[in-house]
Formats: sequence, structure tokens, C-alpha cells
Amino acid sequence: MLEIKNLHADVDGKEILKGFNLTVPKGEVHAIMGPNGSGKSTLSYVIAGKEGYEVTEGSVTWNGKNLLEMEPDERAHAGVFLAFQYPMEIPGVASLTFLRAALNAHRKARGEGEISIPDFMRKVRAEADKLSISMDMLKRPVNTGFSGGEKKRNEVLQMALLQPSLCILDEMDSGLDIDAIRIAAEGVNGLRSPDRSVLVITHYQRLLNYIVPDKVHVMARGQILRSGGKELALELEESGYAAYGAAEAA
Amino acid sequence: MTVHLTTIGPAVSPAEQRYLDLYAGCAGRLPGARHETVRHWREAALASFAALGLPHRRVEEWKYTDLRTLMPEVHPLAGALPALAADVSIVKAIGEALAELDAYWAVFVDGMFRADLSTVHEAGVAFQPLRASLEGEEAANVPGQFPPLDRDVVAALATAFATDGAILNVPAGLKLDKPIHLIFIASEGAPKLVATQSAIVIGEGAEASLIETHVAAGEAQAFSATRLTVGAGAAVSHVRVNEGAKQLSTASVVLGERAQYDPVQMTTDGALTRAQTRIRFDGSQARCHYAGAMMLRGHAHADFTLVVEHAAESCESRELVKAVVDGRSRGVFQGKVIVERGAQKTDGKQMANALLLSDEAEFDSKPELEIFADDVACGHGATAGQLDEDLMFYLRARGIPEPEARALLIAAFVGEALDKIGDEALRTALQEKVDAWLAH
Repeated sequence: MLEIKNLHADVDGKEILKGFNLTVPKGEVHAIMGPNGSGKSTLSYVIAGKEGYEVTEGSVTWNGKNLLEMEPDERAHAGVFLAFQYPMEIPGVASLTFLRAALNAHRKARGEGEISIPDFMRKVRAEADKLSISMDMLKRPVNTGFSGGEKKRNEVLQMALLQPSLCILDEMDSGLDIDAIRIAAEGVNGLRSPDRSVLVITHYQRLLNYIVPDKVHVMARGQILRSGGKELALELEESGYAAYGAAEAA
Repeated sequence: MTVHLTTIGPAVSPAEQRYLDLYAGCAGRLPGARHETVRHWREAALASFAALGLPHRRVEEWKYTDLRTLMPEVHPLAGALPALAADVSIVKAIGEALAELDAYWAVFVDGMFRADLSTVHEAGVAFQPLRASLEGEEAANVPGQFPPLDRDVVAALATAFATDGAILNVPAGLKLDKPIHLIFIASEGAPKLVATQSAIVIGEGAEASLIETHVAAGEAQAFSATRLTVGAGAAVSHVRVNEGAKQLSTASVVLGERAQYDPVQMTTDGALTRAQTRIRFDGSQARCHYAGAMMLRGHAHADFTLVVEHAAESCESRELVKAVVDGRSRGVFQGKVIVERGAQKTDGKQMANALLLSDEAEFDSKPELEIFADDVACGHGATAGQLDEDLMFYLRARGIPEPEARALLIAAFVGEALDKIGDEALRTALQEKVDAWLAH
């Protein structure tokens, strides 16, 4: 279970999260919707442990473990996975090298030995096939020259390989056309399980047509202002965020 | 040209005098000493050294590499007399990655060719050790293969003291099946000065991969010079690796029409590495892609100095240097591109990128363009910075701990300089060198 209590966080000395509270039980999918500038991405970076995001008050625990005390890689080992809004391009590091390093780091943290190359290749091929990612693409440097859709599918591939217990999807639909959203969303749906919690952060409702949440929270000005069922997303699509004191971004 | 030592006069400083004394003390024992032509050739080189002096920071080409402070010493010359062959392990000396690379070897230890360790005679090329050439009846023909290089102290000292080296001819049209690996080792033990020089001619249309590995153990100081002529339409890859103590080397390369030349210069650590490359485009439509990689930590100093001379039309030159500098090390790249009058349609681009891993690390980049033609496209750029924090976070968010994430990104940064190497086994061997450096 993810528990965030009274979370305050600064970026460059400016308070972005202002007493944020959220509980996501095991096995549930929650969506956080909100206008630009509401603090959605900041929330995802704070949970994942990015430098420069300073928590001044409050707590974030995952299955009872205090995430705020951990390094980003330790959080990953504890099951946290942030699918980036803008996945980084890493020139010079082949995707396969990167995936194997990540997988082995998780195994090492669990006290297991490195995965053999044939086992690794089998595993990658199986997951990549489901996401229509070619092995040729994976021989190229991470995300370098990939389209928006390919980058997002690559994030889902990493998720499928690392099997995190908490997935945070930061604006997974941004910059994608409907077909690309569908493929990525199917990948995520394939990972839904009673042991895995998912936090979907999105501006628009359309992603939630594909990844149907158990709960929807509306975030604005660094706080959750309203929570409800999946129908809340449809309501927002109709009325926009104006009612929450924020101008709808174009 | 005949210049006798007596004409140098008393004006030299103590630093230069030590080299003159060294020469005076061993002249009679240098290979070819009985031939007057050879003696004159060496003495002319020594005289040009004395005239230029030991380079220091007020000499523009040596601005960042002051030999008066970095290398004031002059050690006894190794290899002047046939000595007991040193017992060396090539694997230990040059590392597993390069030692396991399948290649024809020409091994030189402490300035002496080691037939017992070499396989170059199997390559189907004409090979003779410099020492044997200088001591044979055709000695008078040797100096002509080593023309003096303008304002080049390293080449001058290599000529004056050379005890051995490779004289290599790859016949026209021959496509070598394996690289030729010239291995120069200055062995452990008492401090010594080692001097070698090589002359390599690649015939028209030939294809060859050359590797020069220079390793100096302990307190050795090594001078080496390579003259390379690449014939019309020939394709040559030329990897030079410098490791260990104090190494000063020059490669002077002349490219014929449509020649393709791909040099890679690589250095890890080392108290002093000065790797000079002079490339002259003599025929049109030739191409040269130079890549340099230096990885320095501790108190290392590495200086890649490059002069590219476009003397013919429609040639293309590219230079990419990647420097990883940690600790209190200093990396230097000087890249001068000269486009002579008439060398129209020259296309030259240069880029130097440095990754500075500590506050005390330093990288100096000095690009120079001298363009005397009007229809050319030339450019240069340089960057220096730290590891990208966003990339570090991305890797760490995937569970990769900080030290491994750093190593991955550094390897990727340096790897760009090695990516262009077409020979996969060679590229892998050099990447393993990078990994070995990172694992330290």
C-alpha cells in the first residue's frame, strides 16, 4: 500500500506540493488528474527520489517502508517504477545493455546471481514481442531516435521486465496518437495484478478509457481536491478544471 | 645536410645538454654507427632538437605540456647494445583485451625487435626491423625513409636515438586479413629512455589495419615516431594506444588520392602522454576520420596534438575527441587544420568533448583554423561538462546503483570515439580497455 501523508515539497525554493494526501491500496489502479502546473509531475519525481525535489514535511511509505530515506535505486529495488513522461535518450548505451544492467541490479538487490545471456534474451524477446518492439530497436542506444510511441512502449517493456509492485505512469499518453496509446495501455493492463498498485497521472481522460482506474483524484495547487470513482474522469472531461480554480490549459 | 655537434655551441640549456651528453655517450653503439650517412642523419636530428630546445609552455605548440617541468629527466638509453632479452609477458604488459586480439605481431621490448615474440612475417608484407636495416649493407637508404619533420622535437629525438622500429611495406592491392599489431614495451626495472621509429608504406588500393600499442612501465620515458604513407585508394585504420609512464610520440601521415584513413588515439592514465598526429592530404578526394579517447585519473597528463594539412582538393577531415578527466589530471587537445590555397571544397569538422569528474580536473582545448582557400566548409566545437544528472536519475530509477550508472554513462561517452571502428573485434578490445579503466 502506498501512503502519502501531508506531503510538502519544494523545487528551487518554491513550494509545489502543499499537504498532499493519498492512499493507494495493493492491487488498485488510481488516477491523478489535474491541470498543468498542479504538481502532478513533481509528485512522481518525489516518489521516485529525484534530486532537487526537497521534501519539507510529510511522509511517503510503500508497504510500510519509508521511501524518502532511500536512494532512487533502492526505491526501484523496493518495487517503485516511474514511467517517465519524457523517457531519456542515452546515446552510446544499447537498450539491451541497459535492460540487462537494470535487471541484474534488481537481482543483486534480492541476493540473486546475474541472469544468463540466453535467459535474458528469451525474456526480453517474449516481452518485446507483445509490445511490437523489434530486437533491432533494442540493439540501438536507449530511446535514441525513437518516436514518442516507441519511447513509451520501451518504458512499458522495462516495467514488464522489472516487475515492479508500484507503477507510476507520468503522462503516459502525452504526444501519442490513439493507436500508440492503445498498445502502451494494453501493455500496462497486462501487468495489472492483485499484487501491484498503479498510479496513472494524466491531464486528459482519454488514457483512462484504456486503463480503467478504481479511483480518480483531482489534483490542483499541490493538493488532492476531490476523489471519486472512474466516472469522475468523464465529468472532468465535460467541465474542465475551471471548477478547481485553475484555468484549463490549451 | 651535415650538421656536426660542434656547430651547436654552448648556448643550450642544461635540459638540452643532457640529451646531447646522452648522445655523445652512446653514439658509437647506436645501430648503424659505422655508416657515415646514418651518423649524419642522427646528428642532424639532434641539432634540430638542440635548435628548438626542450619544449616549454612559452612554445605555442607545447603551451599546455611543459616538458621542462613534466619531464626534466633524461634516463640512460635502452637497446643501444644487444642486451639480454628482457623476460616480458605481453598479456601483462598490454592487457588481455589487446593481447587476445587476433593480429600479426611485431614486438619491440626496450628498443629491440623480438623475433621470438613476433608473427609479422606471416602477414605477407615486407617487414624489416629498423636495427637490421641500419646495420646491413643498405643502411644508406634508411634515412631517406625518415625525412625530418618540421618543428617536431619528438621526431627529432626519436631519430637521434632510435635503436629499432618497423620498416613495413604493404604491397599495392593487398587486403590484409588481420591487423598488424606493433607492440612497443618499455619493461620494468631501472629507469630508461627508449626510442623507436617506424616507416610504413601502404601501397595503392591496399587495405590494412594497423595497431600501435606503446606501453611504458615504471619510470621509463619513450620517444617514438611513425611515418605512414597511404597510397591512392588505399584504406587504413590506425589505432594507437599509449599506456604507462612518459610517452611522446608522433605519427606523420601522408594521404594519396582517394585514400581513406581512420586513426584512433587512445590513452589511459600515464604521467605524461603527448601523442602528435600530422596528417597531410596530398591527393584529392581523400578522407580522414580521427577519433581520440583519453581517460585520466590521479595525476595523469595527456595531450593529443593534431595538425591536419589540406593540400589537395575535395578532401574530408573529421576529428572527434572524448576526454574523461578525473582527480587532478589534465587533458589537452590541440587541433590545427590548415587549408592551403587551392585546396578547394575542403570539408573539415572538429569536435572535442570533455567530461570533468572532479573539481580539480582540467581540460584544455585549442582549435586552430588556417584557411587560405575560399570554397571550404570548416568548423570546430568544444564542450566540457559533468555527467548529466537527468540521465543519472533515469538509470538509478531503474535500479542501477550510482557507481554502475556512472560507469555506463562514461563508457557511452568515450564509446562515441570508438563507435566508428569497423572491425568489431578491435572495437570490442578497446571497449574492454575502457571497462577495465572504469573498473579500477
